[in-house]
Amino acid sequence: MFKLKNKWNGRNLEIVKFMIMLTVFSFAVFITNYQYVIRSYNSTMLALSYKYGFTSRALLGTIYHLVNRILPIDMIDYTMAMRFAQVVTALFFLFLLAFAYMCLKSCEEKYLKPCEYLILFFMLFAVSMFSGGYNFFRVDLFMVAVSMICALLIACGKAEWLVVPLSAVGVMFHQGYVFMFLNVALVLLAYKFLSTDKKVKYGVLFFLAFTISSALFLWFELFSRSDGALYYDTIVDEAKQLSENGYHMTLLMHEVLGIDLGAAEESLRKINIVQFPIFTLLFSPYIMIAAKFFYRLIKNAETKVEKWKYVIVLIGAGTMLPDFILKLDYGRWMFAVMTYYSVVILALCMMKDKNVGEEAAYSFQCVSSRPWMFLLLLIPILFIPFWDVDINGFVQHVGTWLDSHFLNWYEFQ
Amino acid sequence: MRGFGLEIEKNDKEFLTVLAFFAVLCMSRFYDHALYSHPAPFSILQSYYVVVLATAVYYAALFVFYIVCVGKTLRFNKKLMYYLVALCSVFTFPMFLQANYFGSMDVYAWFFTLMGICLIVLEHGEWLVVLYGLLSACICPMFVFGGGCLLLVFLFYQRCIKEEKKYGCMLLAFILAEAVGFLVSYVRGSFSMDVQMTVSLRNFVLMMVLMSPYLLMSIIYFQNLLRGAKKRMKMAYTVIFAGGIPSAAMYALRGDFARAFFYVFAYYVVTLLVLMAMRDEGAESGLMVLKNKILQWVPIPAIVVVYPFLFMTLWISGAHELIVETVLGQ
Repeated sequence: MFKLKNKWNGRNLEIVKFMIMLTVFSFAVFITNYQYVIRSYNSTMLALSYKYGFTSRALLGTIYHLVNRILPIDMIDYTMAMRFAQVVTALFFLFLLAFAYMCLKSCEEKYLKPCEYLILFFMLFAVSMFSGGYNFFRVDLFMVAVSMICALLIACGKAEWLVVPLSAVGVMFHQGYVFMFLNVALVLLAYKFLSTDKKVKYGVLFFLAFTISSALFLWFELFSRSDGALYYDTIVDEAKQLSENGYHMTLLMHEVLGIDLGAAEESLRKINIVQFPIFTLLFSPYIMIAAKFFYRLIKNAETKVEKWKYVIVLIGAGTMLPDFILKLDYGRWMFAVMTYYSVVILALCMMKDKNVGEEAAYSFQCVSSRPWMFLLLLIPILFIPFWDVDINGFVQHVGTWLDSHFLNWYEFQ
Repeated sequence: MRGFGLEIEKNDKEFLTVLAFFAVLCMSRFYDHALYSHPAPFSILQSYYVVVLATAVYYAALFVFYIVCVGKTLRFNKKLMYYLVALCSVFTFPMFLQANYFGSMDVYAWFFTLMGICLIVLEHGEWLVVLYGLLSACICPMFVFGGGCLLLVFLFYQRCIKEEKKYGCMLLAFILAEAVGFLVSYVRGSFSMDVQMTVSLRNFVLMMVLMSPYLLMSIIYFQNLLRGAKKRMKMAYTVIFAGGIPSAAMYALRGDFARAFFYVFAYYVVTLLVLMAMRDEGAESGLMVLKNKILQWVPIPAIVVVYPFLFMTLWISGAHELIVETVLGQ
């Protein structure tokens, strides 16, 4: 009896209550966003496979073909692709919940509240993004999962060597991993390099993760599509069966034949130019909270090494810059930036970084002292789910209105 | 403000300013620029610019109502009031901007109801409530069963607590006015129900299941409200409780599930706000008990306000059509 009481003490009970609340809330987010549709872009991706060569973005398709071989049913069909996507997405959401639980279990009691708010904020965006029709079963889901596993391994200090193969796996899912999500593992490794005495270990891990990922990135970008024409028709046939409303031709032309259709997308750049400032403006309350948090974190760091650690954490999201400059999917980039800061801060709380915990608690205290603080939790609902070229429905709506009334700039409508 | 006995403090102003910012965000998110046809007694009420103006006036009426509620609430209940105001906004801000409901006659009727409630709370010019009842019934006859009940139950409530004859007369006059308005609509041929199939039955049932914790909360609240209340007050509270049923039942039976969802929640949240603004002791202690239960069981209490906004944003006022178009039009 005493043992049972001890198990359900204040902290554990708080975590259990939070997890129940988070599960119900995440389920509601899923159910309200879910549309029972896989976009042709995401279903076409399943037709790619390493049996046609070591090509980019083909890992998911390879796994799918492997499952097709193992199971006694024909998986090369949209209905089965949908089943597969549902199972994978459900597992991903369970993993997100498990990540949240582990994080709360590891962090100190006095930093529990800010962590809970951060987890809720992150879950809202993550669950909605991968439930909505636009990004349901998008390969980004796997990349987020890989980067979060890396963060967990580093934060728990267990089997950290796995970060190297996992980084390679991330790039094999999509070479964009290098810019979007590799920063989580690299920044945490750099942080550990500066924090512990095991400099050689973390230095080597950092070097290997970075080098192998970069080499794979270069391979996929420059050399991997040499004999794609040989298999193009076979891949198209499979893609047609795996998609509901026709396959995604642009994806296959780019990934299999290596034809760059980037120039055709240039007119879409105007969407980014219109939507990005609107999003930044509307999201400014959260940006300001984050900016204040980092300002105080760096200012209050006691040693030079500590200052460097936090500067690295702050600028880690800078790896996204090439994507912001060269590519168009700002919705995905925004989500990647959000994921980076959420996961890294949570991982640092797991590692019991006192400064991060103190500053998180202070920021939470500052915000919660205002009578309108809880309204800050309402506003993100307006921003979900994130899409791709259009950041989300909200910003798209405002951007289109702005263009049709004042700019008259969009050419594609 | 002081003339009406309203006490607006610095925190109130700050809260209302941020709420106004939230309202602007809601307008930007939900306003679709599309005006569909709705049954209207006068064609001018369906003119685009009149509808835009009416919706703006509806928002203004909401803020007047909030100012009255916040200003009338006791200082130590203010924080609770902020949560209630935000919860009310979660339903009332997006509803009439969504394309299917933008320009529906409910907006005009809600304006009159909110103004009527303000007069009842402020105890100034309450006789105007009768006129408001008549006008709202003429413009939107079905509103008699929806928001119209709000005015009716609060006139009844005032009659119960004040035991003044004037409220009894007002109550009778209000019922008569609503009946006349109903009849006028019928004679003029503008008596038709505005039903929109925005939410499917499946989604409605799911929504109700997912929102079931709120049923539990309302049971806890009304239990505490009725406990220890005098017989007369018990009757007033029971009438208040029953007042939300007709609109929800009517719209649910006609298949307008979005409206049913909206009316059932908006009705009860508005009654909570009004009872707090009237400094009803039973309501205050009932809400305090509920607050303590929420604090005990919910680690992030704000989730109580945030959670229903998910359904309002993504299912009732959502951009699903837009997404499906984009997704499948690939």
